[in-house]
Amino acid sequence: MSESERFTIVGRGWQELVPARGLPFASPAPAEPVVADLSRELVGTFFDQFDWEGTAAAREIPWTTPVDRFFTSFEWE
Amino acid sequence: MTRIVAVSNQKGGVGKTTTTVHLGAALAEAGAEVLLVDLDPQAALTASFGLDPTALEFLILSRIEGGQPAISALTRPVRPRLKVLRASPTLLARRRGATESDLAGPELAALLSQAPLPFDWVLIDSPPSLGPLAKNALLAAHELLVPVQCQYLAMRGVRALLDLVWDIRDTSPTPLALLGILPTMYRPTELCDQVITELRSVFGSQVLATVVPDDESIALASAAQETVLDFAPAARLAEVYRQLAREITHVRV
Repeated sequence: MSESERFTIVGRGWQELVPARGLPFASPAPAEPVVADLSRELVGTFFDQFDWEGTAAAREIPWTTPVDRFFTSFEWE
Repeated sequence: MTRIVAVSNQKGGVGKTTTTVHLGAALAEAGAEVLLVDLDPQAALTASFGLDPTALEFLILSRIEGGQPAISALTRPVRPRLKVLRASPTLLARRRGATESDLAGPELAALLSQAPLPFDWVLIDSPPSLGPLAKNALLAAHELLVPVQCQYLAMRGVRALLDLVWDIRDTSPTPLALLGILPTMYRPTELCDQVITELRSVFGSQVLATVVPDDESIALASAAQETVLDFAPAARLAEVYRQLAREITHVRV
C-alpha cells in the first residue's frame, strides 16, 4: 500500500490550515475554497465517461441519483 | 523604511531559526543592513553565531530600568551588515522570579518603534509556542513569514498561528500582512508535494516560489557555528537562500 493510499491530505488544505474565523489578513485576497454542489451532480455524469454499454455493471449504476444522495445511501461504518 | 518580519509557526522544528539566520545572512550578503532578533528562550539563533545567550538581555534592561534603551547599545555585530539582538525572559525569570507571562506587553514593538532604525530588515525568530513571546513578535512585526515543514503537523501549526494573529489584530499597532508561506525541509515524496499543493490551494501566490530542501549542509554549518553561506558558499542550499532573499525583496505587501 502506498503512502498516499494510507493517508492523504489532498483536498484538506482549508480544513487543516484555516481557522474557523477565516484568514486574518486584509490583503492580498487569498484563494477561495472550491466547493462542489454535489446535489446538482448526477452519479451518471461521472460514470458516463466510461463505456459500460452491454455490461452487467451498467444496470447497477444509479444514473440519475444526485452524488450527495448516492454517498449518504450507504452505511459507512 | 525598515521592514520588520516575524518568522513564526506554532510548530517547533519547522525551520524558523534556520530561515531567520540564513535569510538574514543572504540579505546582508546582498548589501542590506539586517538585524536578527532572537525571541526564542532556547536561544538557538544567538548560539548559532557563537554568542553567549546570557550576555544579551534587552528586556531585562527595559523592565528593571523602566526606560527605553537605545537599540544600538543592545545589538551585537556577527557579520558585515548583520547584527543580533538577544531578547529573552530566561535570566529575568531566574533572577527575579518573574515568568514569561510578565513579558506579554509590546516591549519589543516599543524598542523597534525607535525611528529611524538603522536597518533595512529586522527578522524576528519567534518561539515555537503561542505564548507571550510569540505575541510580542507579532505585535512588533509588520509582516509575517511562515516556514512550513512539508509535513502534516506543520500545516496544523499554521492554523494555530493564524488564530493568534486574529487574537492580536485589535491590539496590534500595525496591521500584520502575510509576506509569504515558505515550504521547508522538502523531500521529493508524495506527501511533501501534497502539502505544497494544499498550501497553494489556500494561500495561492503567497506560497513562495522558493522551496527549501532538506539538506545536511545545515547541520554541518551549524556545528561550525556558521551559516551555510559562510561554510559552503557554493552549496545548492546557499543559493536557495540567496534566491529567497531576492524573492522576498520583491514582494510588497
